[in-house]
Amino acid sequence: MNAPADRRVADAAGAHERWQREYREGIGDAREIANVSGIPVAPLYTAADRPPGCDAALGHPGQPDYTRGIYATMHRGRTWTQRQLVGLGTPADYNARLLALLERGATAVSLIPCNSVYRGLDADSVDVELLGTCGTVVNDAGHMARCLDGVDVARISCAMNDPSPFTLLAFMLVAAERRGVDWKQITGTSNQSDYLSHFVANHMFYRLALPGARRVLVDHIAWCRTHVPRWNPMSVVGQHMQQAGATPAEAMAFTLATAVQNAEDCIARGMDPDDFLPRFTFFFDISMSFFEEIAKFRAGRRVWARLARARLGAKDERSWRFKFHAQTSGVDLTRQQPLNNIARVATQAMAGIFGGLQSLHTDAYDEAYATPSEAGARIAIATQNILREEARLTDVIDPLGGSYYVESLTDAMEEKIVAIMKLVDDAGGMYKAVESGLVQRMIGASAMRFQQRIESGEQVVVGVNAYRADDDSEHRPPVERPDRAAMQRFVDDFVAAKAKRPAAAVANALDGLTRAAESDDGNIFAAVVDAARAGCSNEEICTRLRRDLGFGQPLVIV
Amino acid sequence: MSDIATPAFRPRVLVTKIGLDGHDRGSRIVAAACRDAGMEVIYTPPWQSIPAVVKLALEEDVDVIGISSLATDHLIVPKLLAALADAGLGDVRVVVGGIVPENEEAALVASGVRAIFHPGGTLDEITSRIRAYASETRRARADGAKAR
Repeated sequence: MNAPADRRVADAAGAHERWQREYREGIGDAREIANVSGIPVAPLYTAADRPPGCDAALGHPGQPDYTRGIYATMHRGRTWTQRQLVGLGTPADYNARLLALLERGATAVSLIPCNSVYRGLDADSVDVELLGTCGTVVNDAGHMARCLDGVDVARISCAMNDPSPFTLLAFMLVAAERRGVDWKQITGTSNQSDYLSHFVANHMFYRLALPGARRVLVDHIAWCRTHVPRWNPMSVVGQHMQQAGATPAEAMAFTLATAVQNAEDCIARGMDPDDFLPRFTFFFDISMSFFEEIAKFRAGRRVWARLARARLGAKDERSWRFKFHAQTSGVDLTRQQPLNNIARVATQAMAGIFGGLQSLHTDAYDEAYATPSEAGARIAIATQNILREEARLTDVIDPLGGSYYVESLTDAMEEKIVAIMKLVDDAGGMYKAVESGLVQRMIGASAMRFQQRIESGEQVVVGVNAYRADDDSEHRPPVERPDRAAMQRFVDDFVAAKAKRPAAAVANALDGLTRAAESDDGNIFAAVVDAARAGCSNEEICTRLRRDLGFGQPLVIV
Repeated sequence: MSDIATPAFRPRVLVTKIGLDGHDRGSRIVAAACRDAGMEVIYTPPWQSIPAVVKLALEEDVDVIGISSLATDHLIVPKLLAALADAGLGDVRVVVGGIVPENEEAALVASGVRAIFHPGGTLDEITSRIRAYASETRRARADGAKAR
């Protein structure tokens, strides 16, 4: 029943003061609380915390500045793509796992190559113990064809974990061409195209020296726009930086600054922002800081819309939409009491869903001590299905929109993100800020601060610095490695196949890379595709480009 | 050489990564913690080869080598131990930190790895144990010198 209007107003006037008084009297612990990004968190948010007119400014889903989501239908229409990372063993091992996943209804796949591939090394250059333990050994177009045997590459979206110079994409295109598949039908994403994030934070990936990597990226984007128009050549990655220790606000700011840098590099090449920006995607980490993560995504979405329009000059709304994939946070998982990680992953996934993601990877609970097991991967997928279909988190679009806290925090995160971006701009943009080590130093300091929060107990980690158990080993099953003898046979076959190639064609294709690298207007990625077609291996292509463009040793700052 | 019992004792520690993996958040934090705990720290970027680590250990006269492994590079640590022994550095203590599955610990210990640090350990614990292992190395060397 409604009270008379005048009575409600009178109550409201005294109510806040009364709450403040009772809160002060009742609270035993009056210490200040701040989130990981350093934003103070008040005990209560009310209408008084919100600026006048803010509700109208919030807008609607699918409308700029997209605080409430980039599509009108959001998760009511299409929920999100369940894209789990898959990669292990030989191409035949990968193919078997992939076909099983597709049989279970997966519509999107990703390929994680062996670490040796990231390092630009072929199987015959690496200790056999390390082959296929973290990803699939894919060294040439033939290996890729074997990976995708029986897979309709025109229908299945394929994400390639493929750093510069994008040899895996080249291998896949050659495999498709040999099957008569039109490249214009191929969809997917170059997941590791963000060389700046590799240089800053994830040294997993083979890389060229910064200037070379910068050029190859623009070549790759330009070439894909013409030849593989439904492919997303650019995934801007905040995940690496946050996993390396950046705060959520820093990760978002550095990612947006990277996107601006790459877009401006493309524009400087004469490309139209409305041609390539709709093919930019983003990739983020979702940490345990629940509301902070939701606010990070909501704030990032509207900052990007404004940047794309005002700074990059894009006129098409598709260019302003901030499409992102998110992954739950591996560094937040604990080796202690590992089944607790299922709860952590579920919490992080919820934050990502409330944040309006387009694609989600949930980590397996066993990632803190092993490459995920089948059982771990199954639970990770089930977690997504439970959140969507049992808890029905997708029934309402942006369900936290209008929350005094979430909206205040979204504003505060936005302010923080913009301030960090200004630091980067003042340093000459993201390329320069990475070259000078500014970004690396900021991330290193944040990583140390977070570790100290854990060690001081300010940040509780259940089972690690609180609620410890004496015996927590029962749920860690033994880890299996690829069959070493089978891997050795695979390496031997590969060496034999390399020896059978027409040497002149291989040498000529590698020289084609050099010619492209030496000319001002040659497209290096086009030459990579030609080299893949001629049978060149990953190591041969990478080694040649490293020679011509330089190898980028990461700047190490302790 | 300063006496290991005195505060002037400064362990010499090489913090590095061998093999293919580049995740270096852990190695950077541990290196900084060792430095802050008063040790001489030699830190390298990731992807060192085993011969490069042996050479550095020899040139820098280190007491302890810390190998950070997040993506299965621990599987070649026994090869590093063998190479150190071949180079006459069998007394250098080697510790491994990062992701090491339980069923693969025994092989590392059998090859001579002194300790394995898992995620969730505190920096205090790690640095105090590294200091103790460095003392072991110095004692072993002193005993070896006496025996000769």
